[in-house]
Amino acid sequence: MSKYIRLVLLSVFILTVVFSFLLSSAARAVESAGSKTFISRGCGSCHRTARPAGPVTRSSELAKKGPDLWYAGSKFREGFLASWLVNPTPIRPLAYNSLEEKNPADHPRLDVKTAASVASYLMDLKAADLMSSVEIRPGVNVRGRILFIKKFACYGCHLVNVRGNKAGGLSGPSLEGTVRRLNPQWIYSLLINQGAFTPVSRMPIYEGLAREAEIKALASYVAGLK
Amino acid sequence: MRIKFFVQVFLLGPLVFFAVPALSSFGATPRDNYAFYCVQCHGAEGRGDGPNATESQPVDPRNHRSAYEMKKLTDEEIIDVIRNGGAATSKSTLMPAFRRTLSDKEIEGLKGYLRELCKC
Repeated sequence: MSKYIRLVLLSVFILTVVFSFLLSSAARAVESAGSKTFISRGCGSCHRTARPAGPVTRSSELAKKGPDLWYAGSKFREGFLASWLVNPTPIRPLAYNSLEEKNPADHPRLDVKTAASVASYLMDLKAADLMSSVEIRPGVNVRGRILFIKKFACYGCHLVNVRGNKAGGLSGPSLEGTVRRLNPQWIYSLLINQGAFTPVSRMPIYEGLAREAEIKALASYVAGLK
Repeated sequence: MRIKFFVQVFLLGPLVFFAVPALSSFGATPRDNYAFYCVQCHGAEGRGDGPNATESQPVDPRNHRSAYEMKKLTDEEIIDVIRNGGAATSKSTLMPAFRRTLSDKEIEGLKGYLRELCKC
């Protein structure tokens, strides 16, 4: 090998190492900025970013003003939070933890750059209980649809989009557009182990009410809703 | 005597400390359980007008204040539909099963509370 080629290869190697270091530093800086913004904007007054250390109770959960974000990186699809924080259209028809008050649609808006940094920070918050090895392909399937409508009565509490019209109940978060919002594996994980994410919830526990294949079909159906 | 008192306080004190949070989760009254779960569909007063009783739903939730409606159900049927849901008991498929959420005792308590609401 000529001296010239060795020199080129060495240069490429050094440049790769330096570039990788700069990239990771930049990523860390963005995450750090997102964390700082989350704190400075007071987001923590409504959202938890750490799993509660002790047992939660109905009164502690009903006092919350917003959904937990300590498993945001497991719950949401990549890219969703960054765009939602720029244009935060309500996901819940009713105000959080209210069965009477309409969602005021007053979530703070962030500019594109700030939203990206906050989203980056939140997407790093992962839950150990996510069933990441289970493959759930989002998509409409007959079995999942029957389970959604008949066996589990999901639309009793959740809005869905039926041929362009909203249909269903209002007490739960809307399931319109889950295909862009929710990680299919998180939907499955929630259905088979609700206590790991929302130990106190108005949603009934479905774990043990159906076979694993049924839960997978249901998760796949919910994950594919437009 | 005084030594026995202190021994009881030191031994039983931690038990009380740990038991209280557990009770606040599992010691809910039938009224508490109704207010937490059932009002979503059946309404705060039990008149079948909760936030999930939207016009898009195929049927209205049952009015638990209506003696006429509630007398159609036996105690066993009420318990069955709360435990197993509407789909498994030939009732509205909008009614979910609560057997994994509530204990048999809690479901029995809810049945009693429904009988109080309908006075029947």
